[in-house]
Amino acid sequence: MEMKNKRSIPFLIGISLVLLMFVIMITSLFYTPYDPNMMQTDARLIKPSLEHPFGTDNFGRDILSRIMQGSQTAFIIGLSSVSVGLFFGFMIGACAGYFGGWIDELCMRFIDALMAFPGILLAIMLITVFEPGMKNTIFALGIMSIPTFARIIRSSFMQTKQFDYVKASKAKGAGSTHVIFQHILPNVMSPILVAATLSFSGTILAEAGLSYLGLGVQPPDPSWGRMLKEAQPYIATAPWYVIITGTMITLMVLGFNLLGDGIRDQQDKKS
Amino acid sequence: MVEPILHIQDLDVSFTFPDGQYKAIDSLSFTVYPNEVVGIVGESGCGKTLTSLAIMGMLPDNASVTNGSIRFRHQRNLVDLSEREWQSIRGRAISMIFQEPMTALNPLYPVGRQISEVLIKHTKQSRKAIKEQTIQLMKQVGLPRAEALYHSYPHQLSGGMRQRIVIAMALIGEPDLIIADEPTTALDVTIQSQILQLFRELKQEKKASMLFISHDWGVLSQVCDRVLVLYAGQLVEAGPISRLVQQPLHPYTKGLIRSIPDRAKRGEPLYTIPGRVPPLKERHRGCPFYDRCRERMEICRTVRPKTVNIKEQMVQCHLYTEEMDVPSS
Repeated sequence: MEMKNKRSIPFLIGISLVLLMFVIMITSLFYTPYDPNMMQTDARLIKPSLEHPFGTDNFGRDILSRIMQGSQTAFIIGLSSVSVGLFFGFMIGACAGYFGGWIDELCMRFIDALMAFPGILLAIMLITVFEPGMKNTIFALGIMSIPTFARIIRSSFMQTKQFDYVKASKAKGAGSTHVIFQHILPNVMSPILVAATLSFSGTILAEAGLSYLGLGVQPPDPSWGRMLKEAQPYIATAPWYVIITGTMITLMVLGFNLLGDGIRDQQDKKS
Repeated sequence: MVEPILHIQDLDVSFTFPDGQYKAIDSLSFTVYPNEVVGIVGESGCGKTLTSLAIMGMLPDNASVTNGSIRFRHQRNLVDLSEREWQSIRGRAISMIFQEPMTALNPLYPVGRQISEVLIKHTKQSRKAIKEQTIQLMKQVGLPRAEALYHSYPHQLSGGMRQRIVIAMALIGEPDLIIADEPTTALDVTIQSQILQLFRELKQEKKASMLFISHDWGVLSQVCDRVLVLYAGQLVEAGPISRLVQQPLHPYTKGLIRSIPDRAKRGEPLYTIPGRVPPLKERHRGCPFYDRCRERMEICRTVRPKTVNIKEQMVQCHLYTEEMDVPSS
């Protein structure tokens, strides 16, 4: 019992952080204290106060409002890139794991080729070839996360394929699609869920990195990564700008990481 | 002459390894007639399960049929079927009962749904009719409160109940041939005898043929009409179960029969056949049983014995010739 409580503490912290971020994001959809893009030249780099809890930036924009608005971008990018990665990763991994043989060989060599590039480099390359922007960032980060998903799904499929109930379903005359979606997929949901949660945080971090380099989300869409970049020159005069933005990114990534780890621990205990 | 349900002729199944192909089943031929229960017996690694997988078209990826034919009701050679054609046969014409009732059911679906999956796949009946038929069958295989059990999940049922579900799963498509791969091995003895009773009842009611794989002679003698003895992928002896138990011809069958525990042998050490089944890569051209045989001769090492028919029994051994009468033992 004691063990159980000890283990679920990271999980609880994780889920609280993620929920907090989620609430901030939802709130920002219909309420921010100020217009996030409204510039007030007479109120540049104001220290945190009652009027501006997180202060203002170099253009006199309210940092709290921009942080709130930026959380939308983080969630959209995270969700969409994970979906893209999961979709292609599932197709590749499921085919490779289920059919085996030369199909497996082909799929896995493709994954190896993707993995030969460090993820962020691959994303930078894709964005340079196409052009920076929300849509291409999502695709680049999605493609970046394909190998992780494909490999996890492949190994889960190979494992589950061996079970008698999968063979029994085949013996009943079921086709591959039926076996894959009705019998294998529901039984491999947990590792997929863990991978998706962990990948979510990785994607958010990568987006912040790309935006920091000016390759990710373009103005006027707010992004935490770009805010960090904008805050950098004022690190000495307005340290709160950097600290607050950096903390938000850290909390978001930490939240999803702890959540993913927590889910995994819970499953390890079950099996 | 009755038309056979299943006719296997000169079947070879080989495994492909990086260093070559190895025959795991070697020129296997046998026939199953309507409403007949044929047992397959042999040690582990003799090809019992592989034979059943070949009949279902579900061989592992690195195994394939390299020669011979499997004919179902005199139709096309099943070996040539496409995967799609196989799907219309599996569950409907030929079905399979798995060994482990613990793993043969998907933990995430209610058992009723898993039984009816066959009908949903193969027929166009309404869901309601399918459900009624499923519950009907669940009652037939001896499941109490079938309506309630229909919605139960596998983990809520006992081992015996699960095996009844697995059996119902194999019966629902009203197949002509049922392959039962050690259906009672994973059960404890009392449940085992209940399930065997069920098999005997089903044999009376349903007019299906069955291929019953087991290494337990006691189980085989309760349900089978004929038994095939497999050794290292070859059919070494076949015949009616009573003949084989009372008068085994092949030295391997003799060894198997001798090693059955028996109350009369109480206190004596249990007989075991010395040695082990030769691994796939170490099988040579002579008699497969040469290394372990107590009655071996020089010819056995190099020449594969021919099949000899002695009355109702068929044996593949140099000790016997066609003209011989059954030797008194």
